[in-house]
Amino acid sequence: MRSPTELRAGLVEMAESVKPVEGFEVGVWKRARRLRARRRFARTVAAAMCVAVAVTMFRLVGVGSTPHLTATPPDGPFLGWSAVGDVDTNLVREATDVWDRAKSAGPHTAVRPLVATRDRRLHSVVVLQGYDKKGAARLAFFTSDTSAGDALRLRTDRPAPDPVSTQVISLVSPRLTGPAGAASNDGWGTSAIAIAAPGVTTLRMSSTTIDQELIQDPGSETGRFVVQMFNLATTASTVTVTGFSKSTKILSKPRKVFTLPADGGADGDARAVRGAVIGRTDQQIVVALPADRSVQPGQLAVVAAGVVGRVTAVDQTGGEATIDLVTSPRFTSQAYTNISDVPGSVRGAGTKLVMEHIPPGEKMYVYQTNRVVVPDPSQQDRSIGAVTIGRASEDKADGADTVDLTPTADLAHLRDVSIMTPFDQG
Amino acid sequence: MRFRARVARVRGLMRGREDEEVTAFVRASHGRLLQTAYLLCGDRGKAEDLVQTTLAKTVMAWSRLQRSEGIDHYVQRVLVNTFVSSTRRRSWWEQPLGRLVEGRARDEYGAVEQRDWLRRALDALPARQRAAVVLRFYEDLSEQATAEALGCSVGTVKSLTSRGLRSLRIRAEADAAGESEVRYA
Repeated sequence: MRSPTELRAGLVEMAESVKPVEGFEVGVWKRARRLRARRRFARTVAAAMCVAVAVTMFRLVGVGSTPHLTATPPDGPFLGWSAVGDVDTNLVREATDVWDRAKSAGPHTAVRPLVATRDRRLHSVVVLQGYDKKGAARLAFFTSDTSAGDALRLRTDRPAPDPVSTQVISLVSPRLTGPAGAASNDGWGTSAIAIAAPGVTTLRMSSTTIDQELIQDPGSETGRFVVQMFNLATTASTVTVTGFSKSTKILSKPRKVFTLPADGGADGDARAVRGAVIGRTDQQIVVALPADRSVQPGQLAVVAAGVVGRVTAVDQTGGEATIDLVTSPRFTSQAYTNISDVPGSVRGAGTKLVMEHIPPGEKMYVYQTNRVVVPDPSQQDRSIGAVTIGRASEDKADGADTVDLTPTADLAHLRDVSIMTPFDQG
Repeated sequence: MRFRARVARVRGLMRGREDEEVTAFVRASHGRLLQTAYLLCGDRGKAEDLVQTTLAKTVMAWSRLQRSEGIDHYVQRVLVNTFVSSTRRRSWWEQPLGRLVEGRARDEYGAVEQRDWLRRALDALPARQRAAVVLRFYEDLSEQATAEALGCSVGTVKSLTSRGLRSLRIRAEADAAGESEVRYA
């Protein structure tokens, strides 16, 4: 094998010794069929694995829509929600005793807790549902009286809410930490309690009476029960409760399931009477009232964003109230700045407001966007439940005793307003 | 319904014609491929197996190949790749019995002896060197065509061929020296 020519000859000679056997075509076709079947099987397995991986990814990672909040079936006239967390049976027993003694409404039967737990801010929070002695379904909130060794006090006793449509129940009041009906004297003493339906993973409460935005990252889960503190000006009328639901998928985002106004306050708090706007002139609105005789002239009409106006006339037979808007020249009220308590008075001036009679002196500054609030005559204290009327449109000039304000309530698009009425002892 | 039936009939006809074509191709190329495969494998059974696999793959790709040029190149590439891959992933139960092959008795006749020597010399070459030598000196492929069949560069083909030839030459010289030693002993 000295040269390539010899090699070529040798290879040809060797190759020629090999002759095909009969029937090789059959073998080729058989092998082709086998290969085809094997490839088909491999393709099927690969497709199945792809589908499995995709399904797993969808389930785990959370691509796709978040499931809707499913309604819990009602428990007769009561909310069918399970209790939040572990129920402290001692607290339930104590709260039931307090409830039974209150206003001769007891004994209560079929009592079922929604919450019975200890809390860092309110020490104890109990929310019960049950029938009173007349057989009416009721809902009651209890918190500790820190001035009496954390004894439980009944804060409010309401009719049980609609067990089908209710998504959240709440209580907002500055009267949740001391004796029944006594307001907190802490500037940050309004407490808000909210309990949402099962399935809600995060609850947020925000108040329009404070400049700090309380819209936090809805990704951090709070659970369906929250207690939050606000400033004393905060009332149920100015608090909004937002519920989010987040699935257990890794990358799923929380989905907003509701945004609702808070339900109401505690015993002793001013009560909001809601009415629909049925008529309007340039500086007045007419509101339809429910069968409620507590609305009187002089009371404030508010929306969550601030004061709308003041009741000037009530037609009890017609069930209507006439309200002067805050921009009306007839509207005047004592007022003060929320941030530094600069006093003055506010009057309407057509499309804007004017804060005037600001006393001269040091620290009597009003800066642009400062919040100006008016006391609510239905409250028992000047600072409790004070309602925002406007924000300064500009910085107050040196030596000036007036500053223009922009109303915070959207007066052009009013549909419903709340009229703040004093707490009814009866 | 009538349209569907017609489509099905046309498809059936096309498939039938395709089958005839591929069968003709298998018949025409089997012998040549078997000889190349034998040179690569060194074993008739393995060569038949290799050709069967190559042609089966060709049958499966036939409709695609018809739309492109160079069926022969494709078949050659499949043959070489299948051979090289089979030498790479040989399982433990398929290990060649090296000693048995080395110890195979020599033919008594010169021509047969020469063929036997070449067989063993080729078997001793690594798979890719063997493929390069066979494609270049038996199939008479150019360096470029060999590179395409092997899926490598022309430079690699040159290197593989040169090393293969050198190995064959060294082996031939060593065997010649061994034979003269035997004669003089």
